[in-house]
Amino acid sequence: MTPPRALAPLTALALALAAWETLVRVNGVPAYILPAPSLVLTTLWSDRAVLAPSLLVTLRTAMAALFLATTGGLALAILFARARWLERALYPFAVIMQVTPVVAIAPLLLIYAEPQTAVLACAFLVAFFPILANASLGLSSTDRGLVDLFRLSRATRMQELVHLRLPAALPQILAGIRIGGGLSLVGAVVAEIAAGTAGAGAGLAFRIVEAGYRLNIPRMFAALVLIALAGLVIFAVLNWLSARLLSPWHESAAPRRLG
Amino acid sequence: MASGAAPTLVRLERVGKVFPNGPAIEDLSLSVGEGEVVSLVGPSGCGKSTTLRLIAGLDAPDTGAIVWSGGAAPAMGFVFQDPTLMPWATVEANVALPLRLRGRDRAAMQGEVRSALAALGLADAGGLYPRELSGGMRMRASIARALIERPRLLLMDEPFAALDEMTRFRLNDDLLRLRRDTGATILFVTHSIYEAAYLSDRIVVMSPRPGRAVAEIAVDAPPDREGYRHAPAFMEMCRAVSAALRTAGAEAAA
Repeated sequence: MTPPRALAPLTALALALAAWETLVRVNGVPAYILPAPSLVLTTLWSDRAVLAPSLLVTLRTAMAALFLATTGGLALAILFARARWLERALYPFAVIMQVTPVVAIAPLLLIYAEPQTAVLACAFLVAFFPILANASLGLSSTDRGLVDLFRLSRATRMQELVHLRLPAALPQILAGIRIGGGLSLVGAVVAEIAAGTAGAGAGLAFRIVEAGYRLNIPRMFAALVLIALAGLVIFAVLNWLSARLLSPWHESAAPRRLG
Repeated sequence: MASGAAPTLVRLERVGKVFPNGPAIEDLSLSVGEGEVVSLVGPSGCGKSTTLRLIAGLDAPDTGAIVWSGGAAPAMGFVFQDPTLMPWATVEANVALPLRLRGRDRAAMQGEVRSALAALGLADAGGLYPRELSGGMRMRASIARALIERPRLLLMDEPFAALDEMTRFRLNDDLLRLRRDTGATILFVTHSIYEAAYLSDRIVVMSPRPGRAVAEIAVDAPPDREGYRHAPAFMEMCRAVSAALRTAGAEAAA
């Protein structure tokens, strides 16, 4: 009988936390240098009134960016698949957007847009390209035999898109969304740091910067833990969604093979 | 090339097709009669599949003409070398695809789909996904899909090439039975001399690239081919096809 798959990483995490706690306690390391995990946990609870709203702000930004990147990336990929000249005209700009670091774009966006809009735009820019690139790849990789089959049946272009190209591209589209999910959070955090928005619109990244200025190192760690947990939850939800949609038929998610 | 007594369904008149890497077929003339099973045999790359694609309308000939009895191409089914099933759809949905693309009501086509599945021995497999099927079952599903619209002409491009010998024999017998039941005309591309001799009413031998029809052999066998594989006439037919292929190759090399 094999142990559950989660056992190994959970054991490794527990051992690392125990070592960290021991190191801090045995050496008497002050909290402003390195807080013990137990103190970070306590801070998570004691500072919940500050951290929870900020977590919601960051999550809301990341999810809105992911939604916009998914719909925008998919729509543009469909247009690219329909008109190759459009792909040739616009794809280089999508690449430029991707390779330019968002931390360099954010200050520029903050000149022209409200901080929250600029943060959303940064998160969108980071998440958009992998979704566009994967969807484009999927939509242009449809099995030639199936395309011929649809032509033989005199399918319309809309029928070909809905019944053939989109379902055939679903694994790549979902892979793009899984990558974009994590990147939308990264983009939101980077842009929040650049924006430095205080008050009700402050996200977790701002809380980290603010806590750093105040030498409140336990809160910095607590905010960081929340960002990591948010990233893990986004990854897990998107993985689950992908497995649900692909499990009956795709090799990456299918449980068994017969015959 | 004449097609014997059956009225002609389609006639290829000096058809040619050129691809960027050179001509695939050249001056190809052949005809297929109503209800006939005609096999195209020839070496790899001689344009057999290109010929099927031209007849199906998937490609257009560069020279010559394809002439249909009645003027317009009839309903056609196409079975590819690979089963080309949609992996995300069940067997039932795959078989129903041509009807669905014509906008047929899902409930109304249930009966037709079920009878097509039953005819190919897939009555219990409708709810399975392609990945859950054996290679032979996938090809049966592909044939069921090609037959769902009761085509007058069934084009088959080496459909059994990737299957093991026993499955291939079974599917050969299934195809003969379907032909008897439906009366469909079949144009069949194969590399196998034995398969061509067993299934066909007529075998057209093509030259090496660029392909032309260089020989035509009528198969004198009973419609019910029970035991035909072991008959001396069958071996004689295989020898005749083999000799025609060798001659075609030698003439092309000369």
